[in-house]
Amino acid sequence: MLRFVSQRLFLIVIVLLTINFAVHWGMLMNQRGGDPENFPSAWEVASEALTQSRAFAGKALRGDLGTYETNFGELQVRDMLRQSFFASMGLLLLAAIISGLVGILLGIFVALTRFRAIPFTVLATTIVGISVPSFFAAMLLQQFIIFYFREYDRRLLSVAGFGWDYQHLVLPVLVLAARPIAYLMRTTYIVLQRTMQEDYIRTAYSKGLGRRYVVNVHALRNVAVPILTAVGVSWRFSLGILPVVEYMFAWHGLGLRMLQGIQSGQISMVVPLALVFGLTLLLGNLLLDVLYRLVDPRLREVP
Amino acid sequence: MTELAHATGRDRYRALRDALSNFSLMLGVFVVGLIILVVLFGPLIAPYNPYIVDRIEYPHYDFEEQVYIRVPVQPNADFPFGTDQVGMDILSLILHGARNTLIAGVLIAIARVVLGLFIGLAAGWFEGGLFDRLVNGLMGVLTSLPMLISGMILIFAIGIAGGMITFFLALTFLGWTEVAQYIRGEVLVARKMPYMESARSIGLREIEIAIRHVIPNILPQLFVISFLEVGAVLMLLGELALLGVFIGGGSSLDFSDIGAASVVAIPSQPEWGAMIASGFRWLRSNPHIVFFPAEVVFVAVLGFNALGEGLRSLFEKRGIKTSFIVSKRMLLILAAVFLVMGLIFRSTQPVRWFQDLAQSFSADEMAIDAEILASLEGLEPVPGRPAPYASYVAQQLKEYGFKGGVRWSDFYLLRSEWLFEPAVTPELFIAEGTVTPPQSFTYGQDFAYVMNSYGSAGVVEGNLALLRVWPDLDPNAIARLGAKSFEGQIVLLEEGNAPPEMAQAIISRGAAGLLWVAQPGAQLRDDRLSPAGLEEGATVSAPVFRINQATAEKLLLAANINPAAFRRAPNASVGTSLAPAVLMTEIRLTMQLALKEPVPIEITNMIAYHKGTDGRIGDEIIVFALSCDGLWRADGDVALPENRSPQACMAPLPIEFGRMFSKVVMDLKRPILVVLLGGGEFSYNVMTDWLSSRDNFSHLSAPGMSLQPRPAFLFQLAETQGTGAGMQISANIDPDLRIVLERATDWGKINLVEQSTDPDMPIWISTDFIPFQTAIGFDLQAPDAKQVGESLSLVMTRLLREAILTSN
Repeated sequence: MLRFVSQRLFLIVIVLLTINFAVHWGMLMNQRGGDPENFPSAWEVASEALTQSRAFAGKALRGDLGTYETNFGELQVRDMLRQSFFASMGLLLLAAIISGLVGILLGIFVALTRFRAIPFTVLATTIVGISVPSFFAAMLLQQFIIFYFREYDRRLLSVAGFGWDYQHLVLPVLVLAARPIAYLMRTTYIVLQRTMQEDYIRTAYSKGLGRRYVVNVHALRNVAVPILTAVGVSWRFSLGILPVVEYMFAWHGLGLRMLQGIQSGQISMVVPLALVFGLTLLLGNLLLDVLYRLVDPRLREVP
Repeated sequence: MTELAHATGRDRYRALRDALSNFSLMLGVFVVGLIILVVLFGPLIAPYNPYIVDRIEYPHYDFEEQVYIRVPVQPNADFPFGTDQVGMDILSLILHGARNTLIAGVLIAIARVVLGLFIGLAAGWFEGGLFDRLVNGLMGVLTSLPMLISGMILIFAIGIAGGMITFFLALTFLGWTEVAQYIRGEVLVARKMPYMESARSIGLREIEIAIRHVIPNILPQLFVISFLEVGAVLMLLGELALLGVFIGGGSSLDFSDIGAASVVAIPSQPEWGAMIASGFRWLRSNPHIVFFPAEVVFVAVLGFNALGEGLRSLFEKRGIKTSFIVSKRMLLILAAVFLVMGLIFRSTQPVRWFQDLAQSFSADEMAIDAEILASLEGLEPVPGRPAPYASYVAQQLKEYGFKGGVRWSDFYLLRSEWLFEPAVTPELFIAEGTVTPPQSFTYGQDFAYVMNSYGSAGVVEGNLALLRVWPDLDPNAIARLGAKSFEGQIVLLEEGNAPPEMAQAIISRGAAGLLWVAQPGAQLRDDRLSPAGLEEGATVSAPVFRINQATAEKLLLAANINPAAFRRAPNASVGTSLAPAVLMTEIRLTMQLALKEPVPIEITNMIAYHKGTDGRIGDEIIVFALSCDGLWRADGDVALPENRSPQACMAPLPIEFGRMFSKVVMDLKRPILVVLLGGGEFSYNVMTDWLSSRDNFSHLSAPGMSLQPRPAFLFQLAETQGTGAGMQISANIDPDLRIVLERATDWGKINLVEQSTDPDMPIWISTDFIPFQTAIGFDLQAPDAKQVGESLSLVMTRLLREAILTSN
């Protein structure tokens, strides 16, 4: 296990170095231009990106992440990263916990329920849930809050803004969690329902085991891997729409900073943020892989 | 036998029942079917022309409905989805935009699946090999960033102005990994199957095994993935659009604390993403602008996802035979479907709406301007003030929102020149004795004189020498000439072969005179202007004549030289640079040119500028240049060439464009520069240098814009005597522009000729600068004025509004 983790960590470092170079290249490509006669080619930009990314890596290893420009002067990237990282992680983890609990539990419930109408409705609604663009959901929720305020003169929640209270948290967490909930529920339902029809479940019942024991020990342990995969996909998805959610709700996290960096063409902002994004995603994947191996002993033998 | 048929019938019935009871599948089929209908027929059922803004021109109070109506209009009976912030009908925009958005989505999804399929197959087949490891590494990197972010960076890196192609490249490159990963896994499983062993044992080659056994097993899932992928791409496009990154757009995010320069781009090509992006600023006050496009994105995503999921569960429940997919009948059906779709597309393409706009070009209005301009004839200009005709044009353009394009927002660029007129008729003849019978040539018909800063007067006699440069217009020709002397010779050289600077070089090497052979078909006109007066007692006095092709051939024949041989490169090494060839002949020529005292004159050039709305393509200026004779001279001291209308100046054309564009209230995305050049009667071409010097455009950039404007497209309205309707394009024109021109002229039923010799072609279009050689006019009274105007305005409309054309 230790060997596996250290191998993966080594790969992560390589990927991060590549991101460092690629993002440098992308941002520099965007900034070339102006003089068409002196237009640098993609290769020339690449060599410039190589120099710059090496310089950045060297500095970053020594703890110097550089500065970025704002209307109020130059600020430290390190402070920005720390502040926005915690802001984003708060949202993401809350959304992940809620979507994990709600999605998986509902999925299990639906798969085991005896009412035929429920699975059908759930399958239909989860398709809708998976297909709603996050910005559309955010827009609808915001419009609802505004509508409610106009009609009843009462503010249910904040329409946008940053804050660690329910007023500010509910809407962004809801939007971030909406699709993962639908996805997890759907996956859990489909996988568990199929598992419940397997021969070994029938065998377990015929041994005289109780339903609770069969479900907990035989069924759930077997569906753990696909559900964990779904959790991974949800995590990717939440990270992916983070910029949109933060933009819609003016949440000063990694995603919004990223957008600001890209729009203002500040490489010193975009590169560290991209690395943090990459790191978050890769470490999440690593965690999942470790969990796979803990859950499913069959995977442990495979190097 | 009957039993079997019965069984298949029942089987089919069961399949149908399963499909019908599959809610996702039914929902998906319904929505996707609806979408296909909208893509095909959307433009036909759209209630309005989506390209026209300001549906409500004046804010007013509607007493019946008791509402105050202004743009953006809230949804009402007239506009079911309301209008956007510039008054375009949202329903029509959505119906038209479905095409752009969905085709983008489907194309990107297909490309992703195809790319993923092949990479996945190869990686799985050669598991553990170098390719497999490379692919795995690449996938690791590509998936390590959320696609929204990596997509944004990559799109900006490739250049968002590239439009559809940029999005296609970026999103395909980033998005094939999921498919490839899936396919790779499937191949790994399939390779271990027993049937693979048997396939190999009967001697099938690897590639055959892959095609016959692996792909058919993957195909059903591939369909599922394709539909899900379309949904994913559409959602990604929507999200990108919300962040200001949309097809055919620039950027529109505004962050006050970072100080990012923001350019709000109003969509000119209807596209759902663009609608979401441009309407986002009105989200709070007028949510309907964003709501409807966002909703259709949602519905489309839902449709494709439902179709994918539905198919998946159908396949899982029943399994599916894949043989029908690659059968001949299926291919025929597919071909037929594509053919029909293509036909419908052709008849409902968006260009039709541009054509509607182009038809509002009015030849009558243009004729009125022409009359007014004609009435200004004969008015002597005040020295130091612009000529009356130029100020009329400038005033009209100013009314239509143009600004002065010269530094400090000035409209006029006055230039002082010296006018040299002949005292007696100039002469050119072959001296007696050298050739029988002696030949002389007619001034004005066979030759004309050239001042143009290097010509001068005098009576000279000399031997004819021929000069030829390889390759044409070789910039190093003068250097290669070395210290060669032309003492006592009259040198003949061809325009389009020798670079223009060659003239000075030859004269300074002692030539007695110079003969420029004009391009085929070019009008022979005197170049009577020179920026400097002739100095008394100048040591160099070499007259310069321009002769036509026929004269040149006569001269060559007199010297027993085959004209074709003269033009041919000396050996087979075509393309390599050679020293200019000089061929001495025994022909003695005499040139006679006596000039009057030069007169100082002032030439008015007018330059008007209209800034486009899209900052991302703000550097690509369209230059609309037309040369104009000084109309005030019509009955004055200089005789106009024969058979030309006094109204023949094309100046009314840009006025009519200005009127048209301001009346229809379109946003012009690209900047346009209207250049009116005076002195057309003198073949005055100093302004060509002015236009090709980029310094003269640098001040046109908007504040905060890092781009440097440069002329991207040049329209030169040239002067001819003819009344023909046609356009002439230069050979090395931008290929995209060529397509636009071909379509426009095809539609307007006028000729488009590539660098023709036809003097009836009044409009010369190119993307590079060529000296003004021929110059103006189609007769405004001619019945084809409207045709030409409409074609040209169709071209202008597209160039000014579409971001697809780049001339890098």
